[in-house]
Amino acid sequence: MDLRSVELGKEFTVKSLKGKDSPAVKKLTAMGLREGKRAKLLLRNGRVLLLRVDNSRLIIDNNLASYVEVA
Amino acid sequence: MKKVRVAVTGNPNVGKTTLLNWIAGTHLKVGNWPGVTVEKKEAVIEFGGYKIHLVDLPGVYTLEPVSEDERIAVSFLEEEKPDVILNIVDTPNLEKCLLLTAELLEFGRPTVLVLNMWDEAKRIGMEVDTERIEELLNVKVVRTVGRTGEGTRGILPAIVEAYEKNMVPKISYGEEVEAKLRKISERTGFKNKRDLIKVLEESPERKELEAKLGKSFSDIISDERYAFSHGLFKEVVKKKGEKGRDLTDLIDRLALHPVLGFLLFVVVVYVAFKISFDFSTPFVDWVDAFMVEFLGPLTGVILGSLGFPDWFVRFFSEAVIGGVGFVLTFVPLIGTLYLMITILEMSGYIPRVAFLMDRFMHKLGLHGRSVVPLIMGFGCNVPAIMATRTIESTRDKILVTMMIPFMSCPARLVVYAFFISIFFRENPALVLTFLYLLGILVAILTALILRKTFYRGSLTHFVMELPPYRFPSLRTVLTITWVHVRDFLYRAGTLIFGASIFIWLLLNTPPGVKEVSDSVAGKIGKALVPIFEPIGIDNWKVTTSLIPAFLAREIVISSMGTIYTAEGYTDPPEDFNFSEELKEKVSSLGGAVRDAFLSLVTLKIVAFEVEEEEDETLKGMIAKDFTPASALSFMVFILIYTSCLGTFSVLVREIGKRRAVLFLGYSFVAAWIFSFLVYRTASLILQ
Repeated sequence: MDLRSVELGKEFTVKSLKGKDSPAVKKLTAMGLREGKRAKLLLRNGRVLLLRVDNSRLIIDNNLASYVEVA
Repeated sequence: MKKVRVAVTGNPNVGKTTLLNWIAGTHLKVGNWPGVTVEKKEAVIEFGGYKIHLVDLPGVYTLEPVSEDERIAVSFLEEEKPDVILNIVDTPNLEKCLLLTAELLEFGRPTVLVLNMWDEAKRIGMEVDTERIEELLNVKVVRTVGRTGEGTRGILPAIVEAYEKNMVPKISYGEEVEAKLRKISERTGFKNKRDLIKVLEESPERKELEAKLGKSFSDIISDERYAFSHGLFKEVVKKKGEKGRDLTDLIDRLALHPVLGFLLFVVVVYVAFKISFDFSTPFVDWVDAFMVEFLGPLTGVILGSLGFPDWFVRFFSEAVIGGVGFVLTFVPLIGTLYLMITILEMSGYIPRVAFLMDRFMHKLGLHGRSVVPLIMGFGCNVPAIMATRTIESTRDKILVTMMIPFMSCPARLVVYAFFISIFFRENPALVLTFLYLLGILVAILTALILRKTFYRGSLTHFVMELPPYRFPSLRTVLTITWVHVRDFLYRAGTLIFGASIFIWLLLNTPPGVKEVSDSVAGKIGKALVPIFEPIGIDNWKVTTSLIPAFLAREIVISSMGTIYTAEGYTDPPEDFNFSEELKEKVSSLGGAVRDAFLSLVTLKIVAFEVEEEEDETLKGMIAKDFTPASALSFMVFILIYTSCLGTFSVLVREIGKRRAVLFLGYSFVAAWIFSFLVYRTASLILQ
């Protein structure tokens, strides 16, 4: 399943990332959301998700979230 | 003195510019959101016998150039070859920051690693072995707290030491990659890893490596960098520390709530404006009285008694006091507004609006992130337009860039404040809200038109970091506010002063002209009247003021000041009692301070609700040539028409000359249409 279907407040592990050559995915990995990382879905507002990765908070859009396979 | 060039780098929002403020006492712009530093800025300090040039590069996550700010950082590092790299990291997020560190170490330049926000790391129980980092990487490590300045004194000595000892950093990747790089080094003589990787990418060995490791070259290199940073993190961090639910999470539950968040946003904006207006108004009134009742007559008397010619005394009274002085009365307003904007910027609240507004911005075909430069536009359109460089997609960048000039900046506020204090004393808040919202409406319409015509493309992805809420340090807030005020004063002394001289000369050409309306200024103004008559502006003095106002909007006020003073010029008073007047001004300053603080305890915006008859003053004279409807229409015109040289030149630079000129024309036409509509409607209502 991908990141879009994670329940609010739940922790997850990033299994894999699609479209690794796209600039947005590269940026996402550089911002800390990499394969094997544990993260938590904090909030959802329309098309955007707020994640907690280590000690930082990331906002990503739903479309980009579909590139993130989670377990 | 020997020059040492230092590149100051780091992820966005690690406190780079705040640290620079501490060490150099420089006046660089900072903010608590990703990507405030969008252009490289330099500060020069003398230390330890060296002239140290600190170049503040845009915050980036990696050196893979995707958006323009990354390209700026990379090209500086590659082409300018700095002597020392100062890499600032946010200690609680060390693991993430170390990826950029790895890429920086590849340059092989002496490096100083600054572990900033050390206090936050300590608070969450994180333990970092800094000596081990120095030993492993052969770099200097400094621990700092940007908020208080703790540890920042250690940065310059560390830079000098790394430079003098020429400390070449150590970085090694997996054995397969290293073996290939060694071979290339032997063949080419290159030493630093970045060059070696570039050569390897173009060489036949690349294929061998890809075949052996079963992935693409770019994947191999980026995996190596991740592995290095991860390994380093494991090695030097004794305890990771875990943030529990902290204050930021708590505030975010409210601030990012789909409904309550919006309410909070409205409250925050209201309070910010309320304080800006009400706190500053008593001071604005005081400076105004000081200029008109004290400084003006005083200089007149002094210049007259010193035997200066009559024309010079007139020039001084009309162009300097009437023109520049008139604009200067608004300094307290500009200062408090910037203070509020800076506090909001540094607190970390503004990027939250991106999350909140995404749904709405999506309807305009933009991401929530675009809200950040738009909000910056309320501070000043110029840096806001430069901040669009962090946007990767050209389409989004152009859309946002063309929305920003409609955000009401403080220069426009000067014009609003002036007219509101004359015509709308009963409802200042209502008129101001109308003007700010109208600007936003025109921006939205512009985005919609562009989206339906030239920029149909679809949205690209969007990811951004939300910084934690931070209590901004008073020193940094005051420094930044001062930078803005200084900038305004500088403009008053140069651009506005120049424009005032220009207008004054036009008013006095041909020499000896009796009536100002017969001067060149009068003739030009009259020729322009037919264009502006339909929007209610039928006076040559006002249309003339609009010409130099292309340089900056507040010039419209200084020009009107000059023209009207010239028309109603009176000789300096004979019976000016210096000590009496001074005593009166000092005691009224006390009253202004009291009024300013008292205004903070009320909920309503009370600024400009002053009741006084000003028939003889400058304001009184200008008031006679307007009606409430034409004043409103004039403010709308000033709001929408991009009459600002700074904005126009940054538009040329960011979106090209052709687009910028087209945009200028568009803004003029839109301004005229909206002013026309507002004038006609207001004429009916405000009878």
